[in-house]
Amino acid sequence: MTAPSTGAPPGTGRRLLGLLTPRPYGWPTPVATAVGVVVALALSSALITLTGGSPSASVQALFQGSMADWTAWSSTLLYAAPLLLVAVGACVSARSGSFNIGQEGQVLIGALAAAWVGLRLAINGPVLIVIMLLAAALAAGAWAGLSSLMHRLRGVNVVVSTMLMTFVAQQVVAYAVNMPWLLQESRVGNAPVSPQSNPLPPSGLLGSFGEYPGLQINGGLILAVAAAVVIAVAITRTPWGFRLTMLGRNPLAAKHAGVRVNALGGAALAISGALAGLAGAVLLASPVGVNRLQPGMAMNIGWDGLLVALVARNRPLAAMPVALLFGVLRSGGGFLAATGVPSFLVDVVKALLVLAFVAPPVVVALARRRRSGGRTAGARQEAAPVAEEAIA
Amino acid sequence: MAGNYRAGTAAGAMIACFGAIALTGCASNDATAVKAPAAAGDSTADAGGQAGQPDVNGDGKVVIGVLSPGDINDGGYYQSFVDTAEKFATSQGWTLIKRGSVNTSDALNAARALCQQKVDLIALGASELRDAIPASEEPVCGNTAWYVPSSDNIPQTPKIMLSVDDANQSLLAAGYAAGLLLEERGDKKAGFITGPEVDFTQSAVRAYRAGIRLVLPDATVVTTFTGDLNDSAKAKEAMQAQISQGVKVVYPYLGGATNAATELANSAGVYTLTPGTDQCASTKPKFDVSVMFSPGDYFASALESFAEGKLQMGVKKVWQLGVDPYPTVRLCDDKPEVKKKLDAFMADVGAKKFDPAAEVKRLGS
Repeated sequence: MTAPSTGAPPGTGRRLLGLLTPRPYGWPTPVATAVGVVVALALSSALITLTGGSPSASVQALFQGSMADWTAWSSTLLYAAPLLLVAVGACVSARSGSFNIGQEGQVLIGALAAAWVGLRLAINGPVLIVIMLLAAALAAGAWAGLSSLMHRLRGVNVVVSTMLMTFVAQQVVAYAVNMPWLLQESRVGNAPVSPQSNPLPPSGLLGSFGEYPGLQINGGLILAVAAAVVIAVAITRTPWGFRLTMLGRNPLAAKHAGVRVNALGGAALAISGALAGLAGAVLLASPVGVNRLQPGMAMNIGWDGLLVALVARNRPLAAMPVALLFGVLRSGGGFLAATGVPSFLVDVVKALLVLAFVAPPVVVALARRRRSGGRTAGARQEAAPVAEEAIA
Repeated sequence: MAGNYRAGTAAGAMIACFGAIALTGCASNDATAVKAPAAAGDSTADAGGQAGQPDVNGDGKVVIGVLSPGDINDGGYYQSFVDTAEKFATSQGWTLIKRGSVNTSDALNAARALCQQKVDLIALGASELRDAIPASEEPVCGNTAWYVPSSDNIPQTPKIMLSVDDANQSLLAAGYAAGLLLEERGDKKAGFITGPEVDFTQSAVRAYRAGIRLVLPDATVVTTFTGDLNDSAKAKEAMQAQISQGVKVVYPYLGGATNAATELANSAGVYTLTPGTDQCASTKPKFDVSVMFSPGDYFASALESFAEGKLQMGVKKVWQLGVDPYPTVRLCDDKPEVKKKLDAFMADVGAKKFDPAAEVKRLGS
């Protein structure tokens, strides 16, 4: 008998996903997480000092750029919206046992589809933005679905294919904005044209409550929060969510229980891609960007969104505050230049924080395994599944 | 079941294709084009409610904010801009906030962040960041002066000062200088190495080629697009290939990869030109012609005006080859005959005795 094909990564990938699923370990995990965060902050301070900056000035700059006034809050929320959408999608695929790491490319494909529709569809009025969002979700969902298809037809590892498809997506978008017949901006006089599209028409922009520089709640944020709530409810309160979690924990058992593992796994990957595509449309159509398709417009939102999901341990509701934290780091990062600290240090801080949240369950599991190793063989046999559960 | 699956996939693909084709037929790309910039000429507009320069926002200190789309440590084009700002700000006791490698998609937010930090002058390092300009109209940037380099593709607004040069002029003159050096060597094969094959690099190649052909009508120009302005390995590979093909003058029109490629050219005795800055004093690598159109040179002039309280917003400053100190082309070695011809050529361009754009169109393809 062979294991059912789900698009899930075998072995290592599934173990990694296991770490991201919340399990009750008692007090050691929260304590280890708290210690990890403290260590991460200490290391960040040391790095800032080593690069000639002042940790207190850097924290102040981060605060000023992200939370000091309504303008700063608006900027933070604008960044948080696409991050949250990507993270929620990552939660869905991870719950099903598929580790989609191609969100950066899916964001681009979503933005490409939205730009295409927004610039080419001769529609005025709010229906245009609705169609743009749908197009972005469909295109990116299909793009992610290709990885599922590759896995099913040829056994290509989903982790590898989703990641490699990111580079394909970058080339596709670069091609689109370099071809005058496709989406490259129109030439004005004899001026050189850049590899970017024309700006979206006003009807292709997401509306906001409030106006910059006051507090601005953009439609993208509302969409992201709604998506997080809907997915959270769907995962925890519906039969679909139960089947999804069962598939993620044990595809063989899920199959025996009557779950259509191929369809459900593929759908989870497609939903993950669709949400990343929506993030791309939000990047394109909200004030966070410049409202035109550009090859670099994903701005690592796909990668960062994945990190948000990792830190939130694949819980959509927990992803909301984490996305906000990452939004703070992004909007505050723009202010770091004034302190003389290189803005790329923000990325280092983010990486350390992610490690601080992801590493503790592994550390706790290893500690349990070591402790159980000192006991009798019988006790070892009892302890092994516990550690394996933590890892796998 | 597999058959149904494939049929479903095929049907989905067909629907997607039909949808795509239908959508593209609805509107042309030009329907959403940005309108041509208004002919602002050299007209001056009111700078709005700004206080006197250089302390435009009147907070008792002068802060300059610089945004660059490139690596501000590239030792060339982008760094020159920041170096100029840093040197000037230090001499005046001002504060400088510099931010490099700004993603074009993030330009608007980066500019807003500078405004929130109450800078008195925002300077964009290159026109790629033009999407930051709408921030100049926002209240948060109300007390900020703007310096924007441009290539005639940015609409003039009352809130910004445009600094415009014509790439055709400097690249045509660079090609002319290369042609003179080739002529002196009795050769007819030149090279051009650049990064991505995009509009501005293609335009540069055409102008360079036209300049060479003004001297040597039957000269050939071997062109290599490495895909990356900063990848030294690719640049060296391209340089080696061109040297092997027998080129005697190469223009490494690159960013951070310029020095690596030029050092290789030096070892083969091939003449080289600089992509924007004056490097005649450099011995390793050694350049033979300095083609000067760096944003730092233009910016220095603007900063002097700003310090004197005379930098006017709503104004376009057009830099003219043969008239202004920059752009210009300078031979690094003492070659009086070549220098005389080159200077005469630039003077003719400055006197508008011929149209560089027309020459590029005629000889550049």
